[in-house]
Amino acid sequence: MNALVFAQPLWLAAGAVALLVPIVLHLIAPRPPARAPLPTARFVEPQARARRYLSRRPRDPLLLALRCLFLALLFCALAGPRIAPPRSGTADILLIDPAADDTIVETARTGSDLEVVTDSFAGFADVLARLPRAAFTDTRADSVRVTWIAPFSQAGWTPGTTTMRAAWPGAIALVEAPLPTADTTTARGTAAVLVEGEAGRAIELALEALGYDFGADAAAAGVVVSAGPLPQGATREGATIIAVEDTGDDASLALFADGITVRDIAGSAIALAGDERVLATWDDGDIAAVVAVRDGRCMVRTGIDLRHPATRTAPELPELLRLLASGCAKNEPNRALPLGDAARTMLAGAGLPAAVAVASLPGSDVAGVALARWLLLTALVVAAAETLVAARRDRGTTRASPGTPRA
Amino acid sequence: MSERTDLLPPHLLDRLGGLELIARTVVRGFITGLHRAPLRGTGLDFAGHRAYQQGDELRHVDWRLVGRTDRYFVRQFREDANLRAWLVVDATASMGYAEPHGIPKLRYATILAAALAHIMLGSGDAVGLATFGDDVRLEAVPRSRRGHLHDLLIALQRLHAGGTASAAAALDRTADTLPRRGRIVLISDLLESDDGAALIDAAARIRARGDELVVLRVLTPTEAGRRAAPAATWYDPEQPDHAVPAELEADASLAERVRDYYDTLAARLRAHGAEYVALFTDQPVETALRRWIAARPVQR
Repeated sequence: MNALVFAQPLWLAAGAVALLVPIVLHLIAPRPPARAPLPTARFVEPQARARRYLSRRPRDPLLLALRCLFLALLFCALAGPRIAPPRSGTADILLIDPAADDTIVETARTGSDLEVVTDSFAGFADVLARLPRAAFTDTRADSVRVTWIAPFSQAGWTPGTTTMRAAWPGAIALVEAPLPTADTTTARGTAAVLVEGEAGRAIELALEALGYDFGADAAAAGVVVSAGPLPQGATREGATIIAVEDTGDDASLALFADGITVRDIAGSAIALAGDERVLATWDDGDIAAVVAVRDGRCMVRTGIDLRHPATRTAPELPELLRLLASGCAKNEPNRALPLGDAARTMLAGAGLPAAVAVASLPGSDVAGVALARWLLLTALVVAAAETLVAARRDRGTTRASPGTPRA
Repeated sequence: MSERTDLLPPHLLDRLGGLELIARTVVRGFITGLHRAPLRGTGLDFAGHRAYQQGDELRHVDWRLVGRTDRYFVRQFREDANLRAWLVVDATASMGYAEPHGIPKLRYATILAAALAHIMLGSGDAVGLATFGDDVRLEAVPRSRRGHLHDLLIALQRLHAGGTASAAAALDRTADTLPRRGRIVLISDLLESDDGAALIDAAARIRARGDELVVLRVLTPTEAGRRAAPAATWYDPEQPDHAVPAELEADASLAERVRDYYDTLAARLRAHGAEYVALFTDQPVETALRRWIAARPVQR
């Protein structure tokens, strides 16, 4: 059964107050004396002032009813009435980062009404922006609560939280989920070989500085840095391959990785895929490096342009390379880049209501059947009727009719 | 004369039925208890004897002449020696006024006129009816024949209030038709536009000719200021454009002003020898008649 809802119910309260005005005026207005015949009227002394008193019965009930009806219709129209499908209860909406651990995700899924999953960290702002419409169209609740399940391990979120926060008018419960456990069946290599790149010599020197021995036998290398595809058998099992991906964007960015902040190095963003986990991010939150175990080898994909002069001259480059080279050795979630407390507080929307009324969400006013225009049209008709009746009353009191004496 | 309590109030009397029944009821109630004929001495002139014919009333047989002559003779009376009377009824717009739960003044006047016609015709007078409303109309010339009462009642029943004709015009017109001394009974509320000046002059002319003039003033208690009425814009039906907003109960001197008007008019009428009786529509018609009879001078 459909329900009558009002977008701005305060107008109803204002209308109730406005209705008092004509009622009071009709009760206290002086009554115009009726014309009555009296053959000895010539002897009557005129009394100039008609009595004004508060009557229990309003003057001219028909006119009063029309005026009250007009005001009621007008204020009802301003309140934005709609006939909408009935809503009740509170819906729980989960926003799930696919990188979150499945165990906690499954636990959170129980009892939720709507699940919005994004596979892109950068998509959360869009998700929040589209969430009001989804909450209104995909639930039958009259209020919604949002829970965000994610590792919240990206320090790069801090600049973006303001944008994300503005998209949702209510509080967001943040549930920090662990990352999946990494595969630790890898072994560190004892040498590093730069397979390609003109600037590979610089990388070689850097890796040498890290203690990696270079040898002519690439197959014996433990850490391989590659800017392109490796030939078959180029690495041995257990090696760490650092694949530099060139996405075409060349920017001077700051890099955050495991407590290391590297500024002004060149690189681009890469996408997280499959079972990879993030090793490093740029300051805008985009992923800079990911790691996964593939065919017994530790595959590190990175958008850091290790060949760029800005990268080569960065003082933190050795530490960065060490991080990249030892990516598979870490068997715990990358908590080196936690979300800052300020960002968490802002994302959660401290102080905002947990449950948001669906009727107040943007776009909620487009659902249902709008009644305002019909109420306004009816109010115009009533106003015309009131004008006609009032005009007739005025003519009746001013007409000098002789009256009809009875025979 | 004490007021009788068994008489019907005018608004109930009006529901009895036709005017003829009402008039008979009034006359019966009026005459009952009277010790003498109400209008005796109305002028039956002996005109001579003639031989008795079958069908003549025995009361008209002159028995003295029978004793002297052994022959039967009946007295003859001149019909035109009877009093000729006009009932002049005011049918102007103001006579249509009625109080709540009361009867219109015109209705009261017609009942009064019907009763008077009944009485006077019963006394052998010739009675006519004249009215003035939109204009002066001689509804029925004075006659005394059998059946004339019915004609008068029919004419009275058909009266409707309206117009602003003058009572003086009606008096002059009726007086012109009276060949010798007669009687004019004016039944009116006397609310004249000139405060009765023309009426006084007409009364003087009538009295100067030797005719009898009886003025029966009919008024409602509310008009006289004796009964309160709610606030309204009051207007004279004969002058509807002039309206006065007022609460009658707040106008304490209205009764005094109305009384002064009629007292002045009565004094001037009486100064010319006219009879004047003030009647109110809440009085039983029989009472009104008795008041008039009680106020009459010695019958001639």
